[in-house]
Amino acid sequence: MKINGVHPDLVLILVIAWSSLNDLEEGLTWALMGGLSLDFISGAPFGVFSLAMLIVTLLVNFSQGRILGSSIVLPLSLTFPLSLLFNTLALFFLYLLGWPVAWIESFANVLFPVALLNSGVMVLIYPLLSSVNRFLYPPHLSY
Amino acid sequence: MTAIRSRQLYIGLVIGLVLLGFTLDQFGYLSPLKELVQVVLAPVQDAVSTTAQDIAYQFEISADIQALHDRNTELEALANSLMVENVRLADLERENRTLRQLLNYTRNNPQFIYETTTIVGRSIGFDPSNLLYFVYVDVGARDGVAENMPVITDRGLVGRVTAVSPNLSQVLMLIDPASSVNVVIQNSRVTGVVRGHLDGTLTMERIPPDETVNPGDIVLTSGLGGNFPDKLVIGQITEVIQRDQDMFQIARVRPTVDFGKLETMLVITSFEPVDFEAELLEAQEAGN
Repeated sequence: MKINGVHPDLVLILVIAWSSLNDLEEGLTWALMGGLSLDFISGAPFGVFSLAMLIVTLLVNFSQGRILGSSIVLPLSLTFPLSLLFNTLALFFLYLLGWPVAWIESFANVLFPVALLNSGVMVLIYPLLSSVNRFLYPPHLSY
Repeated sequence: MTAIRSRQLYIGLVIGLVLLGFTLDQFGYLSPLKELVQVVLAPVQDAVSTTAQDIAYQFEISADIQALHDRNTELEALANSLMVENVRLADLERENRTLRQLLNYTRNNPQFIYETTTIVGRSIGFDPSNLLYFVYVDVGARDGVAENMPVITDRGLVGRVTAVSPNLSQVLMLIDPASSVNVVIQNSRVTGVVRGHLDGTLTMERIPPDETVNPGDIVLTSGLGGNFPDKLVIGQITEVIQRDQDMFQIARVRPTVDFGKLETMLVITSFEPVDFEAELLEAQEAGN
């Protein structure tokens, strides 16, 4: 699914959503799995996406409890900046490895549109994942 | 005895009545009675007949419904099979068209040996990231594909093979920022370098400032540098950007290949790219 030449980073969206719903260990596990799957499928040098994904997940965990509202506000407010950060980090790693990068063009034509698109998709994905999370880990009631 | 005699009398009487009726009817004396009976019995007959017809009709409808149901099931099955057949034929027609185009291309360019290939699957065939433009094709080292071999469609150059496994090859597309190709404009023979950009566009760079480049000019590979064969179509100039402070002109190029809809491609297996660095190193070592 491409909109205006870009497609949503589905793996990143899932990792951000799941990390915001669970603790650091769970988030890092899924970040590693998501990052590795991208690294295996992509033509980028191995590790570029895993590393960027782990950094993003650490920031999600750091933000838990620091942003107003603990449900949908957290992932929605984080998706745009973290998408931007994820792709910037990946692009930076590629740049360090010798790939030519036109930074301004990349931000204007790809990174910003992708971050916007990811934010939109998160609105749809998060409630679904939240339900899955409640099903897998039902909240314990105490009296 | 009395019972037997009365029974014989009864049978004889009935036979006699029948014969009498027959005789009277033959002479037409029975017609008024018959008409009277018919008038009296007509409504009853009608009711009985209608009921019987209704019952027969209901049986008939029931049988028809069953037949229609069976026929409907048959037609549905036929429609489904025709739909599948139609899809298959449309797919074959499309494949046929593509292969004909590729055949025409190979006939027009007999200097190359070609290996036909198709993308394994679109969903996993392209790079998952927005930052890279790779496509994966379902031929690899076992089919004679090697790194740096050019990949084309009937519309023009797609890119070059950057990694090869036994059954799979990774192709760096022209529109990737890491891709650069030495090119020449078909009519004016102006040279330059075509580079890809992250937004999927192409530009022709390093065009000498004193050369004239016009929108509509066709851009071909020049063969310079030894990475690609010459005369492969890349695209058409759409806009020329000439700024006073720049040493070279830049032109936007609209690629002829639709990089979002790649299905069947050709790998030019006969072309051996020249590795200048390795050759220079060899020459230096030989000189020493």
